[in-house]
Amino acid sequence: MSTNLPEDTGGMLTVALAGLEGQLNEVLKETRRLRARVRALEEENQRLRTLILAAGEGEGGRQQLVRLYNEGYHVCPPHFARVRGNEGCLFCQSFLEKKGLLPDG
Amino acid sequence: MHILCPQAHLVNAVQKVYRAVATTTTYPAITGILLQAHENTLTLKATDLDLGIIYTFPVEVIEEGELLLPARIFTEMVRRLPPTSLSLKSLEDNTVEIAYQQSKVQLNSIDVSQFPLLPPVEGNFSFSVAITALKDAIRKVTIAAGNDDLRSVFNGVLWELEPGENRFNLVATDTHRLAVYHGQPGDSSSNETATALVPCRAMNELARLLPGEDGLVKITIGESQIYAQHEGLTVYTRLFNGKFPHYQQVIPTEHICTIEIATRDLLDTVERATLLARDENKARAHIIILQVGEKSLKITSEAAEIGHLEEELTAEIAGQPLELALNGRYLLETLRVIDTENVILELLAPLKPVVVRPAGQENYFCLILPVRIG
Repeated sequence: MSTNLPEDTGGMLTVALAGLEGQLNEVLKETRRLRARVRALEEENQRLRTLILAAGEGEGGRQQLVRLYNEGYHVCPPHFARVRGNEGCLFCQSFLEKKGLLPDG
Repeated sequence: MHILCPQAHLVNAVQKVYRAVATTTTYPAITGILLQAHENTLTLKATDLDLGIIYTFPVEVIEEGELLLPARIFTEMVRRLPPTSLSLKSLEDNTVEIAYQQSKVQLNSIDVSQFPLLPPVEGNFSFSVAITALKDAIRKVTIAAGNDDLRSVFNGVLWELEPGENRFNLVATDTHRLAVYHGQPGDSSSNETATALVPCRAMNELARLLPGEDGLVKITIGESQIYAQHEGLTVYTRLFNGKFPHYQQVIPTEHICTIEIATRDLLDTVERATLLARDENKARAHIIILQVGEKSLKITSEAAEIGHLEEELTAEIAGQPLELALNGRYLLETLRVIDTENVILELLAPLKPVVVRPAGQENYFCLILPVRIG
């Protein structure tokens, strides 16, 4: 099939596409770097929260669990200290109920 | 390698294995499809190292051998070839010639030795399941699986085999809801219970690949892999290592209110209510309110910038009046997989999980955790 595009326009398109491909590769590289960074920060965050909770163990430990849950973090074993967001968690709720601690939110 | 086969058969085979082809290019060999011609059959294999799909079908083998072809171009090319008999022949210069009618196309191949060895089907537990039941179970359970973190156990479906009870269970949860399906296995190789945590993606691929007809699929649970086999098809996937939480403890053992209502009516209402509940405030997005009266169920939703909806549905209600709020999207997704005319909602308290189950069927339920509002 023949094309109506002049030869130089075709050439310019090829160059523009190559440039776009290069830029996309850069964006992908940056996304990968950011993903790795986010993962590292998530892990660090979890470690720090575990340390904070461990420091608060004792009489106030149970209340800290409730506080942590109400602040939007998981307290259930599978997701402990991870961000829970606004929605409730079946396992946190069951865990707190079993300990006689009813969550506020 | 040299084979002859109809284009339609090859397209069908390629489309079956294509979904397991790796999309990244870090290891080029797994972006290909391996073709092995042996004793008048052609076997196609693809894997991304987590999921693997193998499909064998009869062809005319003129010369046995194997080939590794770049998946994308091979699939696209085969799909576009005319519906006629094809000849696939490997040439000396590491290319393959696909001949059809008076034409031919030549594609570069990849070094076959680079393709990973796929694990043999082995495991201590194997049993068979009716295809229709398995597809039904996957459709109903995967709605509750998480999809935020692909590494999480919540992105998996727990498969429990209980030969003593003559039962298998599929369970999934994203921590806000939980779906459980009980099915009956056919023959089982062991009397011991077994569990496997299978990535949700693999379950969906299996459901997609199995035919929509009667028949049995054989499941084998290995140390770190699970295999499903049906006729010429084998699907295997790596299992998640993590531990699935003790889900039984979150299932309510009692309720104070039961609602039986027409599934279609409730679905339509929830669809409208959820459509409206698109609050820009994420915490309130998709939230709908259920008010249970003596003889009717009232559903309301609102969004500050959009409007307000209030619908009242006739229902058979037993128990105490109750009001609760939940994510309408979760209820909608559950209602969409319930096939019975009526659905039952069991409620205990405003913040306790709501149990949704098909009326007259004991093999499935979904829990939805309400949200606190106000």
